[in-house]
Order: sequence, then C-alpha cells, then structure tokens
Amino acid sequence: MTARLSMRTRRSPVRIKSPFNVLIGVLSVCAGIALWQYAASELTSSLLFPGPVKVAKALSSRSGLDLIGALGTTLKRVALGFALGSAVGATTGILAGNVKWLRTLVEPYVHFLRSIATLAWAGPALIWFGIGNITTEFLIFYSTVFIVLLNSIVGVTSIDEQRIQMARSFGATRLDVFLQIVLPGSFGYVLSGMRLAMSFSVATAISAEMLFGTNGVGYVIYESRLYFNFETIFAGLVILGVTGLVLDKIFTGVQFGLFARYRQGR
Amino acid sequence: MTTSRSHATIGILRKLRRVAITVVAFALSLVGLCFAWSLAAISFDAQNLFPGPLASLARFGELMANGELLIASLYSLMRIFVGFAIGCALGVIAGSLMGMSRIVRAALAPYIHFIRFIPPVAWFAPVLLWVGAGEAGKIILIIDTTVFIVAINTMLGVHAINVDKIRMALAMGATRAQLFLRIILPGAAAYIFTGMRLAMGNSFATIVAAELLASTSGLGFMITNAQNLLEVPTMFAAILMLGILGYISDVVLESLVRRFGGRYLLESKGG
Repeated sequence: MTARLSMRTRRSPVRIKSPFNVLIGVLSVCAGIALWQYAASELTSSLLFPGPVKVAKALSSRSGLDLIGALGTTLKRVALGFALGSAVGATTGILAGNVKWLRTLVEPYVHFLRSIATLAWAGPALIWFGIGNITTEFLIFYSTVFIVLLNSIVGVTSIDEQRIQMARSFGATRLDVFLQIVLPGSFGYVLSGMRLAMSFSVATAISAEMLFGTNGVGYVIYESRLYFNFETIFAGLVILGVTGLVLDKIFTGVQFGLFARYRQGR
Repeated sequence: MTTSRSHATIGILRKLRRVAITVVAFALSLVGLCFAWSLAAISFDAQNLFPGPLASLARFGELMANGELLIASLYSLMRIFVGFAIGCALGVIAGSLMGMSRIVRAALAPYIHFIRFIPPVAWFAPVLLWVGAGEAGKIILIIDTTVFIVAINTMLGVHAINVDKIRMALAMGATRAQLFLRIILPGAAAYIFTGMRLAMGNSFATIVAAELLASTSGLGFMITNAQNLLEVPTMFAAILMLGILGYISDVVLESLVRRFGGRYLLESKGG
C-alpha cells in the first residue's frame, strides 16, 4: 500500500490565513462549542460542568464585570514586574552580550536560577516580604528577567560580524557600532524574549494570586471553587485565554509591524 | 612534522588556558557571592529566617541524608514524568496530524492558540473540584502544560522537513507508516525535543505551584510545610534541589536536541 502525497507539495509555506483555512477554523470552533454545550447539558451534571451558554451569561452578568475589574488589577501587577524585569534583563543581557567576560560570569548563575521554578521562591519571599504586592512583584520580576536576559544575549551575539567590521572600516567608533548596529540588531530578540516572558509573568501572577492574593483574576477563580461556582471559574479562564491571546498579538504586532525593519535577515 | 605538532599543542594549551580561566573566574565569583551572602546572613542574625550558605548546605546535606529530600523529589518527579509522557505522546500525535494535513491544522489551530494562553495553574481550580487533591489532578495539569507546546513544535518540525525527502520516499514505495516512522518523526525530532525541553521547564513550574496549593507530598509541599514552621533553610534546600533537577532535565533534553539536529538549538551560536 503506497501513501498518497496529501501533504503540501508547493515550495511556498502554507498560508495560515487563506479563506479556506479560516472557514475550517470557524466551522471547527462552532462544532466545538456545540459539542461543549452537548457535553455540559447531557453528559454531566450541569452543576459540575457549565456549558457555553451559562459561561456567556456569567461573563455578561455582574460577576463578569467583577472579573474585568479583577483583570485590571492583575494586569497592573504584571505590568510593573514585567517592565522592571524586562528593563533589567535587557540591559544586563545587552551588556553581557557585548562584554565577553561579563557574559561568562553571568551565564552560569542565570541558567541555574532560571531552572528554579519561580513560585518556589514564594516560600522564602512570603516570610521576608510578607503577604503583599512586594512579594508578587518580586515573583513576576523573577519570572521575566532571566528569559529576557538570555534572549538579549542571543540577540547581541547573533549580529553578523561582517556588519560590525563594515561599520568599523567606515570609521565608526565603538560607541557608534553599539548604538547603530548592535542595539537595533538585538532589538528584535529582546522583543522576542519579552513576548516569551509575558505569558510566564501572567502565569506567575495568577499563581501568586491563587496562593496568597486577595484580588485579581487568579484569586477570583480560586475563590470561586469554594462556592462551586463553575460559571465564574470558566468565565475567568476564558478571560485569561483572551488576555493572553491579545497580549501576544500586541507583541507580535510591535515586533513584526512597528519595528519590522529591525529584523535581521529575511 | 615538528611544526604542525607544536601548532596543535599550542592550540590545545590555549584552549586549556581559556577553560582554566573560566573555571577559576567562576569559582572566584561563587566564593565572592557566598562571602557576601554570609555577611548578609550574619548581619540579619536570624539563622532560621535568612540562613547563610553554610547553614543552607548543612540543611541540604541533612535532608539528603535522612531521605526526606529524595522522597519529596521522587513524588514531584513522578507526577511530572507521568503527565509529561502522556502530554508529549498526545502532543506529538496532534502535532504530526496538524503538520501533515492542512485541514487538521486549520481545525485545531483556534483551540491550540487559545487554550495555550490559559495558565495551567488556573485550571487547578476546576480540576480540584472534579478529581480532588490527589495525584490525578496534578498529572492533568502537567498534561495541559505539555501538550500544547509539544504539539506546536511538532507541527513546526513536520513542516520543516524538506518536501523532496517525502517525495523520494513515496517514489520508492513507502507506506504511510514507513513514511511517518522513518522520515517524518526523525526529521521533526529536533523540533519535538525542543518543544519537550520548553515544556519540561514549564512542567516544573506548574508542579511546584500545584504542590504549594494543594498537596501533602513533594518538593512544593516541603516548601509550604517549612513556611508554616518558618524554616527557611529547608526551603533553600528544596529550592536547590529544584534547581538541580530542572538543570539536569534541561541538559538531558538539550543533548537530545543536539543529537538530532544541532542547528535547532535555542542558545546563541557561541554556545
């Protein structure tokens, strides 16, 4: 029995957004939602597993507004820790990428600290800083900084040596090379690192809120389990998914749209 | 050829010198950091709340010796491995299907690109209510953490296989199974292991979070327990263990990536 070549035979990559694909996607989502509704109403007790209709109702009701408010709190938290972590990570990373001895010095520590799950530090941090925003921001900072740092280092080291040599041969000083070649060239990688770190920082914020928070989406979701309020839980999950998707799209837009000319190669 | 031999020797000596300098520099920095750490610990003068490096290592040794640390690690690792194995299997299957069939990809893409943004820990709330605080819940969480990353990376890997290879195999009369096992899987292996490496890091984070929230065993529970007793040395020991385990698993998976396709490394060219 021979297989048929049902895979793409064109040399060009499959376009994700072609109308056919979009149609399949839409149909698939509709089928999924219908299946969800069926499973929720027929297969299990509707108390344990809310269907899409119930979740939509929860989203548009009072608790939905509360959730949006909680989302604002969570995002504000994330924004602070993320900004700090990205700033420190990017600065250190770009410096380390340029200065060889700094990089050799910093890398083993970064790799080791990165291997430690962020939330493990919640234990000591809670004892040292207490239950409050400092601990949460510390955790969010921790989850961001190493990823951005490593990506920044990669960004600097992956700049084509020939470009630097060309600039030097035109009489550029070290500072010129740094400002005109290294910084723009590594910018894409820094953004890429930030995009990666974004989902981690949101996850860390949610975990922290579940563990010891008093507000925010994580807290609301985890609290709702005490009242078996599945509608709110699922509404919260949907909101988290949408938030993550939107944030990711923002980063992609910035990276490939606004700063598209900083992409190396291609 | 005396000249080439001394060239080679000089090269090796140079490399040795570089390595030696790096090792010495690292050792010095480590000593320096430990020194600063000890000073800070002494100035706080609260061994239980901020232990110095010696106290932390001593506690680590203690907990290793009486087996507590190893047992806790085994619990955490067991949960991770079971969930990881199931998640990777599902992910590779789904990813391969998505990679090979445009329709499957278009159909599954909206789910994957939505659900993967929901932090796995958030699912702990409903999962706790559905299956309780036992092993199943944590394993489900790990499956969720793993499956999407591995699926996406597998799909990318399948797409990256040169279509001529597939044509050649088909021209030689390969069956579907042979095509999949001999061409597609090995070809996508580097991407798959990269995905697994990413997923492993996330799994550690998820399992710690889950154990901190609702567990009676494992490294996360060790930390929570120590928190209630205000025993930071134990926490440091658990954290060190987590770092070691995470580092080892990362190195193992990275070596697998290297073995199957060095150019797909996540690190810089400088290594």
